This record gives sequence, C-alpha cells and structure tokens, in this order.
Amino acid sequence: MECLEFRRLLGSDPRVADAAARAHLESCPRCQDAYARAQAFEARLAHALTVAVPEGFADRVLLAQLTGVRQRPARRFRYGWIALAAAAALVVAIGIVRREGAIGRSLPDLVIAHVNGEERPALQLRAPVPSEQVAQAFADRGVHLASVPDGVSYVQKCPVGDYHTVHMVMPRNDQPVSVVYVTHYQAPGVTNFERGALRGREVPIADGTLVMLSENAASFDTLEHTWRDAIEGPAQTAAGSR
Amino acid sequence: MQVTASDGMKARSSTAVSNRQQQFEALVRAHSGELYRYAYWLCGESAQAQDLVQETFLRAWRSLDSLRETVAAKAWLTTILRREHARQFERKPMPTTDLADLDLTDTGPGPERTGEDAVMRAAIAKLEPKYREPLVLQVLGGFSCEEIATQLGITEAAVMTQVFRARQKLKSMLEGEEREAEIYGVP
Repeated sequence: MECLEFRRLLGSDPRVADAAARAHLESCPRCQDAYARAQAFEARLAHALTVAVPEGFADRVLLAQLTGVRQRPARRFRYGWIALAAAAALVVAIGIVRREGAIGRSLPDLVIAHVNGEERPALQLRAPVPSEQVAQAFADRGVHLASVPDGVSYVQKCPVGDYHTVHMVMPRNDQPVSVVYVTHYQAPGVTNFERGALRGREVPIADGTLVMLSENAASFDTLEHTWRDAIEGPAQTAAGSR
Repeated sequence: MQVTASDGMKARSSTAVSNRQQQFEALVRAHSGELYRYAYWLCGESAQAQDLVQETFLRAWRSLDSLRETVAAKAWLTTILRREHARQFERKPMPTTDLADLDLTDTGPGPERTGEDAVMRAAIAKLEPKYREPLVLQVLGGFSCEEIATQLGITEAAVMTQVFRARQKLKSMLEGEEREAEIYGVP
C-alpha cells in the first residue's frame, strides 16, 4: 500500500482495520504522524458527539412502554401479581381517602400513595439497572453506599411529601418489592404495618429510614440486612449497630 | 394439588411474556443512551430526540418478535429510528449556531457545554445531513462503512467518500486546514 491510499483510508475510517494499511503504517514515519493527528481529531470528535443522556431516560422509556401496554386492554399479556397489585392499590387508595383528614398522613401512607401513584408501572420492571446508577442516585442524596445490592430494577430520586427519597423496585420471588430510602429522617424504631393487601416495614438506618412495601413480607428481613450493610457498611452491622 | 393442562399453558404463556419483557428491558438499558445521542444529532434538539427514541422503542416493542439475533439489535433499532425520524422530521432542518456567536467560557459538562466541545458541536450541526449522518453512525455507533452503507441504502464507496468529506469540512470550519480531499483525489 502507498501513502496516498493509506491517507484515503485514514480519512474514511481512522480505526484502520485493514491489514495492508496496518503494515504500511508500521513502516512509514510520515503516515505515522498523520495517523497520530487523525486519532487526536477522532478523540475530540467523539467527545463532542457524546452529548449527555438525560437522567433517568431509560426508565422513562420503559415506563412509557408499560403505560402503553396497560392502556390496551385487548392485549393478553398480564402478570397475575400486577393485577393483584393494582387491586391492592385500589384498596389502599380507598383506605387513604377515607382516612385523610382524620389522622393525617404518616410516612408509610405517603410512601404507599407515591408507590401506587404515577410510578406504579415501575413495579413491572424486571431487568436490573446498572449498579452505578443506584450508587449515583444515593450519592446525589448525600448517601455513599458501601456496596450496591443486586436486583434493583428501578431507581429514581423522588420527593415523597416533604421527604427526599431514593425510590427503588427489587423483584423477589416473582413479586415486586418497593424499597424507598428516606434521607435525613429517622423513624423512632422498626415498625411493621399493613394496608389492605400490602405489607410494609419501616426501619431506621443511618440517619434515614428504609421503607419496604410488598404483598409478601418474606423478603423483608433479607432486604433490611442487605440495605443496612450497603448504607452503614458490613462492619457496622456486624458490630450490632441496630 | 393437581396441575391441569390449562395451568401448564398459562404458566408457559406467563413465562414467555416475562421473557419478552425482560428482553425488551435489556434492549432499552443497553441502547437507549446511544440511540438518544444518534437522535440528538439527527434532529438537533433534546426534547425531540427523546420523543424520537421513545417512539422507536414503542415500535420495537410491537415488533420485538422479528428480532432474531441480539447482536443485530443496535442496527435494527437504528433503522427503526431513522425511519421514524424521516416520518416525523424530514422537512425540518437541524438548528445550527454560528461559530462566531459562541461564548467560549467553559461552564461545565452537558449537551449545552460551551468551550471546545461547543465549537465542534456547532461545526457538526452545520454539516449537511448526508455528511453528518454517516459520520455519527461511524464515530458514535461504531458501525463499519459497509454496515452504514446497508443502513443508508447507498454504496460502501459513497459512505467512504461522505465520511472523508465530513471530516475535511469539520477541519476546514474549525482550523482552516487544507482540503486534503483534493490533495488525495477523493471525488
């Protein structure tokens, strides 16, 4: 291969995968200079083309798809537990409406209203989100995780009432578990609660509170331990900081 | 407890639905970012790019069964996005910024970041679509000239010429470099 042909190839595809072109490159100092300049330009070009992707964009795409599916009753795909979750949400919503004004809204009630409101389609998500995304959501709330638990299928920083939270979904045994970490608010102690078909638990961890919601509380103990390790660090848990 | 044939069919159907949903979620997680960037450079505006990608994935969901090989997913999604873009925005030119109008103070990262990236981005936005699109597919998408030719429905030689010229036009806008295309005899 001659210099002229090499430079044409270099301008068309600076990766220069062609074997003959690579061989020429190794033997020609002038083309090595041109190659170095081309790589520098490519790096600059790639950096400029890599515009920032809006935060939470993948989740919004998934929610749009799920919402679309839910609005098409003729479609046959439906999860049994989703129908159950919707029914439970209705029961809870009715309960909340009846209770509102009489007893005010506790943290569990606020979390239930949030989880079963606009973000209810998130309960259907199953594929795990990257652990970096989970860690970043916590970091943005001022919490630096010692480790990131596996199996988070949804994560968003959400306001719940006046609270700042990281809202997650963690499917366990084919059932969604909503896990909401409330920053800068410590519940007075561990409390289990029930609202209609939903079971819940609020647990003070570090200077925040973890709220778990599901129709099945079987995974709460494991999740509580996992998140305590993640937020406080395993040494704290082992030392009995509960 | 007896398990009937109907129960078995329901279980298999439920598993198939679950697998399909998981396949779709994996596609979204893997490709929504790069599709957004590609869409951004097609239409030049973040909100439109987000709409475009959302519509692309909704269409992909509807025809997910036609995707046989996961390795072909990126090219498949890119094709859907190109068609959707052509349908929605074909007659709307990409907004451009004059290089001389840019404030070069660097105020931090992001799509609107000023400074060196902003100068390059303004130059990219000024490229004609026939130059910009194959360049974006090559640099961001990592596609070969042959794959881009298939995507765009033109010859591989035409793609090689267009990406060569795209780079020369950018260099010319940015640095006033010599027109190497003429020197190296690229048509």
